[in-house]
Amino acid sequence: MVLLGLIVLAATLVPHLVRRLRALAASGSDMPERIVVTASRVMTARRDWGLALAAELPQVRGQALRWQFAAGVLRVALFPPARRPERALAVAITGLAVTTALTAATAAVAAPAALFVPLLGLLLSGYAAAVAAGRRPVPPEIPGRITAVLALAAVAASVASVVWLAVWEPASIGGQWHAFSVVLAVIIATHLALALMSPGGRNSSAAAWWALGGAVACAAIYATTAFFQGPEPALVASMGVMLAVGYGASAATGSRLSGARAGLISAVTGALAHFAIDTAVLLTGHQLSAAPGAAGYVIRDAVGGALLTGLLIYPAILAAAALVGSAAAGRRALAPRAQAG
Amino acid sequence: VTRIRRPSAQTTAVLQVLSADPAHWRYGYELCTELGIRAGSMYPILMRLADRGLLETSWETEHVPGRPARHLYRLSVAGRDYAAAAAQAAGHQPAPPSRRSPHLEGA
Repeated sequence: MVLLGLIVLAATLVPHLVRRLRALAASGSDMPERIVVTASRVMTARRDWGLALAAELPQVRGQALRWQFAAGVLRVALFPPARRPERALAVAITGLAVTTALTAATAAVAAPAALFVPLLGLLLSGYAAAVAAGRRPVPPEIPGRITAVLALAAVAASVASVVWLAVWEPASIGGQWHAFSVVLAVIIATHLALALMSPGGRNSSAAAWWALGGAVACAAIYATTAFFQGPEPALVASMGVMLAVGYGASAATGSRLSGARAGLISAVTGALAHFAIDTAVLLTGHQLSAAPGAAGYVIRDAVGGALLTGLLIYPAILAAAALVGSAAAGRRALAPRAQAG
Repeated sequence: VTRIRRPSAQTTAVLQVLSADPAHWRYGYELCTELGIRAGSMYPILMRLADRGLLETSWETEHVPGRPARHLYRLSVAGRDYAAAAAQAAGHQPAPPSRRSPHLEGA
């Protein structure tokens, strides 16, 4: 079923990429212009400035100067100046203090998780500081904020489960745990940052409701199937949900990009919930021994599987399903215009 | 009077150029070419000045075929005070010489 999902993913993304590349080639724009346009769209926390930068490029003549300008815009998009540097510093210091305390506590009671906790703590503190500085936007819509709370709760539950496993089944996170810690922390932090995006578009709030609905539906599906039916029905049902999210959000905003973003927010928030549920199932389904044993190695494989499937493969497939939904909404919206024309 | 935290040399240069004709709207790339400051440094300076209320911003109202409306900048009243104080702190250095680029149009 996962293989089928990957085939769907490839079948969705390859034609989409080919269409995009053809559209870019037909537009006659050069590479610096594409970089500037893309970078300016990334500047969601400073949208006006993104437009200002994009508006300057037409007057830059000469390929070398255009490349130089594009490089500057990319730099501004990736590292925008802090709006509130003092607040960012306060948040960073607080995050560092909390991370240090949690690391000390983890080292005392769950030594195998003593790398995972500080690494994730530092990544999240850095992101919180960027939000406090105004470098990254906070979701402005109520549904976006509810989604953020859901994602944060899933992250907290995941961390608690991993630490709990480290305490009660040390063998479950032994072996390659250091590499695993780094991968897990980076993936969780990245998913959280994506979950905190705003779908954008002219009716962003409606799209954010679709994203929240999709995330809740996926979490409910994962929770139900994790205990009763196994993973495959979960993927099929979640793909159906994502098609609806992509279609609904795209139709509500009139923007395929907003539909795709709403789907991505649902997929990553659902993925965080998925991992939290999977690790919770592991905790409840095994007799935890607090000593190295065969059960620990079984759990270790299961946690690795949960990371690969729940945090990487499923969200990629589900985001692709949302892309299909948003593309279908876009085609339907364009059809009457084409007929009218 | 705005409390002065000594600005960088590049920020001081931008303030001096803008304060030379404070009523005149300027656009970002024009300032880049005039001061020889790259876009990756110029825009963060403009953003910080605008965030602190030292810069007024506006969009070009005149429609020029072939390019979108540009974002325009000039010093606010607080910005003029700040520029004067910054110039004083920098030792009354004259504004840097103009290096207007031949690549500009519609300036």
